[in-house]
Amino acid sequence: MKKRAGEFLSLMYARKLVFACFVVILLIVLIAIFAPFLTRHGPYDIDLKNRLAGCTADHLLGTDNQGRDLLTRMFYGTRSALLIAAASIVVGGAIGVFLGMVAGYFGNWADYLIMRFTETLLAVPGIVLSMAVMLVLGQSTWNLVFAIAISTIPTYIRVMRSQVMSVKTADYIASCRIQGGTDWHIMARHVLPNAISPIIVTATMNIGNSILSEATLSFLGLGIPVPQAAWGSMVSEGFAILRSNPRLSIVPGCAILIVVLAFNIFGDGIRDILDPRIKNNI
Amino acid sequence: MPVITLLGLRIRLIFGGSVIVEQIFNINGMGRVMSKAITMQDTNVAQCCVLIIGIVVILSTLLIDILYGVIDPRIRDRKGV
Repeated sequence: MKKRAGEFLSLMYARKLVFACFVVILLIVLIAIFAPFLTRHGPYDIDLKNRLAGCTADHLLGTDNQGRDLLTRMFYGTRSALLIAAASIVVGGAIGVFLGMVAGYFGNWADYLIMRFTETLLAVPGIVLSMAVMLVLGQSTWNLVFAIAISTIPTYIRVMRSQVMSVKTADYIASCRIQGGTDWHIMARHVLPNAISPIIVTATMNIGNSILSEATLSFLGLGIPVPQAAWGSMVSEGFAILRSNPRLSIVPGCAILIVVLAFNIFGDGIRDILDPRIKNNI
Repeated sequence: MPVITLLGLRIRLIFGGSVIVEQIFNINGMGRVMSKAITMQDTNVAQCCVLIIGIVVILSTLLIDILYGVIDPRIRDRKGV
C-alpha cells in the first residue's frame, strides 16, 4: 500500500502541470476551510461609504456595489463552490453508481428501465434540466445540490453500467456465486470495488463541471440565494456596471476559471495515472 | 468521422450554453425566454420551452446519426452482422 502511494506520488511529480494543479486545489481547499481567519472583513459587511472602491490597503481587491470587500466574498465563494460541488458529486455519484450497478448486473428489464430513464435525462441539456428542477423544487441550497446532481447522473449510470457488464463476466464472480453469495453481496463486495476506477476519474472531472453549473445557475439568479457569496451571483451583480468597473465581474470570473481548470487538469492527470496500461507496466 | 461523433455529443452542450449566452448578449432566443420564465415562476412557458429544447436536441442528434451514415460508407453499407 505504501509502495502504491509512493508510485502514485512519483508519477504525479513526473507531470509537473498535474502536480501544480494539485497544489492549487490544495490551496483552494485551505482557503475554503480557513476563510474566516484570512480576512479582516466579513462577507456581508455593507459599507456604503466605500462603495466601488479600487484596490486599497484595507480592501485588497476593492469593494463591490454595496461596499462589501471583494476579496472576502471571493474566499467565502470558494466555500460555497466547493461544498456544493462536493455534495452534488456525492449525491449524484451515489445514485448514479447504484443505478448503473443494478442496470449492469441484473440486465433484462432492470437494464431496460434504467437506460430509458437515463435517455430521458439526456434528452434535454444539463443546464436546462437543472433550471427546470430548480423551478419545481424552489430555490435553496439543497435543491441546488440535487439539481446539479441530476444533470450528472446519466454519465455515472452509463460508465458504471459498462464497467459492471465487463466485470460481471470474471471468474471470481462466478466462483462467488457458486459458493452461495447472494446478488447484493456480490455487487457490494466484488463488483463495486473493481468497477469503481473510471467513476473516480469521472467524479474528478465532474467537480469542474459542477462548479461551472453552480456558477451558471447563480448567474441566472436560480442558484444560491443572493446575499450569500457565490461566484456566479458576484459576476451577475457586476454585470450591470461592466463598462465602468470591470473588476467586479472579472475577479470572480478568473476565480471560476482557475478552479475549474485546476480540477480538469488534475482529473486528466488522474485518468492518465489510473490508466491500466501504465498500471501493468509497473 | 471523429469530428461528426464529437459534434453529436456536443449538440446538447451547445443548446445548454445558449441559455447563458443569450442572457449575456441580450439576444431574444429560446434560452432567454426560458430563463425569464423560470425566474418569474411562469411554469407553463418554462414547461413548453423545456419540451421544445428537448425535441430540438433529440432531432439534431438523430440528424447527426443519419448524417454519419450518409458520410461514412462503411456504416452505410453494413447490412448487419
